[in-house]
Amino acid sequence: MNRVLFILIISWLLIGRTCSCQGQIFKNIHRLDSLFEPEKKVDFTVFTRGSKNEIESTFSAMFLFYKKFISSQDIDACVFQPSCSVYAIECLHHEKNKLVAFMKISDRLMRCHGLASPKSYKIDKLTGKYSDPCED
Amino acid sequence: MKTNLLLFLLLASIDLFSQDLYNHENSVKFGEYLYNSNQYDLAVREFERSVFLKPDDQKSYLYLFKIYRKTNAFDKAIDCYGRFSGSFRFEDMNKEFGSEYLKLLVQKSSYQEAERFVNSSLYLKENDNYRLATILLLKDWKRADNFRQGVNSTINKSLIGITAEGAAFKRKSPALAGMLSAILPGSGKAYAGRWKDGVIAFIMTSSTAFISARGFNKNPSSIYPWIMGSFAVAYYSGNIYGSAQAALKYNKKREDEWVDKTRAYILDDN
Repeated sequence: MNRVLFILIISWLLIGRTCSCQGQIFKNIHRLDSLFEPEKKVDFTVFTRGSKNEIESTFSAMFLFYKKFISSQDIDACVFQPSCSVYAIECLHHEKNKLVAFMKISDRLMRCHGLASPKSYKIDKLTGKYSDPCED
Repeated sequence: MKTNLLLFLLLASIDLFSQDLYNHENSVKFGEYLYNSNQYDLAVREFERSVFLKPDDQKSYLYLFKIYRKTNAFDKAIDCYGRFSGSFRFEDMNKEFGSEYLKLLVQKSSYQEAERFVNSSLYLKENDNYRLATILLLKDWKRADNFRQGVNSTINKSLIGITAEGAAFKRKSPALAGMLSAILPGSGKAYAGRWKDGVIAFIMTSSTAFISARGFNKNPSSIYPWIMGSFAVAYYSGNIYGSAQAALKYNKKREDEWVDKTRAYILDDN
């Protein structure tokens, strides 16, 4: 019984994460332009500069590793702008209380799903994603 | 000879005029056209010429004030009033300049100052719509409701609607949202109006906690249940924090909507 429940929960999470389909509206058609242009390379080290302590340095290194070897192999699935990883590293750098920073990151990871309501967020005009900066 | 003389007399009797396209009247007329077609940078030049030609022309100064306000050049707008009146006594402003100055204060979100100005202005303090609107901008819904009930004059319908909604608004408590999430993960989010986030938070927190507990029961020496347990704690605490924040954001969003509507009422040019 437990095994069945476990499989069900994991399957649901996996399906929920990968099957977040969104309809295209005409005014967002410019987003298709990116299909025909080479993707611009982003210098992610700008988010990690100025680390003040060991926690920030460690997580900056983890962030760069994730961006270089994991995120680069995946589709752009995050529903937010900035993405969850950038949000996390910005929180760690800007938030004085690291405990609050970790809680903000955990909360953000739980909010990043295909069911996120457009009523709750502003739309980022450049990317068409939900705008959720660390400062909010 | 006679013919030449006749021709000379005929020509001399014709009055010849040259047209002055840049006179005051034409400058105002063309400036109004540019203003109405939203070509503010060009309209400024016409109205500046107009006030140069006729320094007591209130209409042109008023247009200049409007243009500077609309282009967020607030200092220039105030300077423009100073040039017209020779002083910066805002409470003595006439009705037209007064309502423009109120718009300027609202546009730059100086709501406290806007309320002070309306209450001290000679011409605007009789306008109950403006007085109510400035209270609404301060999000003081109860005071706005009391003011509306004590007023006999006709109040704008949209302001009445905003006042009624604001007075009846029940704020979501961030403390209660956090407590609900502490008792049942995700319930605080549902309370704050984000039930989809609440469902996901419940599934993620409970599933990681369940997996961790199962791991501890089956193989207590393994590091695996510790890792899942850490995730469970992170999700649990993050959800409590997020629920409190969601309640705060819910309150802010609702109140900001009413403030935006009130701003639109004041900034409306019609």
